[in-house]
Amino acid sequence: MLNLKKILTILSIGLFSAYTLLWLWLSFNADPQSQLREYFSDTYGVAACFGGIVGLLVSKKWGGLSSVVGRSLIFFSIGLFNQFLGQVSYSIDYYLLNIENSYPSYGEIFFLSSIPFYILGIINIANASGSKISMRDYKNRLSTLLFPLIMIGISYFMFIKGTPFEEFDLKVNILTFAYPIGQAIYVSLAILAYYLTMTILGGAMRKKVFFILFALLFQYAADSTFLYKTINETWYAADISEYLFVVSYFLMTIAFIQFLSALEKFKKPD
Amino acid sequence: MQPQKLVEDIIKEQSLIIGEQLAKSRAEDSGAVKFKSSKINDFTIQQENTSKVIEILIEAYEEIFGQASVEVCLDVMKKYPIAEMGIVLPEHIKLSTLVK
Repeated sequence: MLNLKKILTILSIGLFSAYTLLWLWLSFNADPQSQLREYFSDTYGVAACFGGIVGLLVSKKWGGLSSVVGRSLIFFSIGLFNQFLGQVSYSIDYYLLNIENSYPSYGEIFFLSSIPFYILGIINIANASGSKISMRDYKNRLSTLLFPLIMIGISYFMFIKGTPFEEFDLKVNILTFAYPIGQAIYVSLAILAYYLTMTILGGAMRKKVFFILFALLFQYAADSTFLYKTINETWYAADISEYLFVVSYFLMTIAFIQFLSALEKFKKPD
Repeated sequence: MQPQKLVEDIIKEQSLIIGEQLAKSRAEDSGAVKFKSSKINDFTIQQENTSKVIEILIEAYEEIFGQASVEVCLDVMKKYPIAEMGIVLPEHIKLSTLVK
């Protein structure tokens, strides 16, 4: 008999498989300028939309805003959903307003706002997982400063240093700083959350919490690949960076479903 | 020290982490308590031995987030006078863990 978990799993695997097959077909059959690639590029955000909805459904079962776990799932879901809204914004510019390259457009508000929501999600899930206990150790408190600083430094040298700021307007320059720095902060907090909780987090939720942190790491890899290719002007529609986003949205969705399956495990059998 | 108050505090604190529904269901499914209504403070303790109740409750929550969940229970117990906690503390948890 199909329950909610099975239905969501089937739908997410179906969506991921469809976009994977489409991407593979485009990789072998469509040149970089093909319009078919634009259709991939403009629609794969639906995976983020689906994931965001799944996350909100699961968060309700964990107490929603009234619990730490519920709040973390809500924040992750909104962050994921904003990826979809960002893509929709650019699609509106392209298909309805006939603006071909509208960067930076209002869509960046949604893409950028994913970052603070991911950060809030990580802080909450880390709290639920016992990070506050680990923070009693001064060495661990020091690491909360070191991890983000190291990642910000790496991001600066990889994505910001050497940018000819005088060639771009203020909005572009702000985004040039905001994306790598913001992404460095959320990924360093995800790594830090793992570090602070790896000896104290146990039970049924251990693997599920670490999986959601892994999904965030994967999204950072997708973001970084996209940034790198954009800076080096090697990005094109439906390239590897976009497929990595498809994978990361799928991983986040599965992570949410894992939180749902944990609740089923705790149900006493009739 | 009223065991009812301590158990209620533990369940309430867990509900802030994992949600009221799961916190109550873990407490009830473990056999520690039985809820009389939907209110989180409306329950009866199912064991005569308070120490046993606390032990069962901690073990039930430990299955969720492991030691992280145990620490939530211990943080609740730290709010009570240590002399009273010594009587109800499960054997496998040392009194020293309640020292602030």
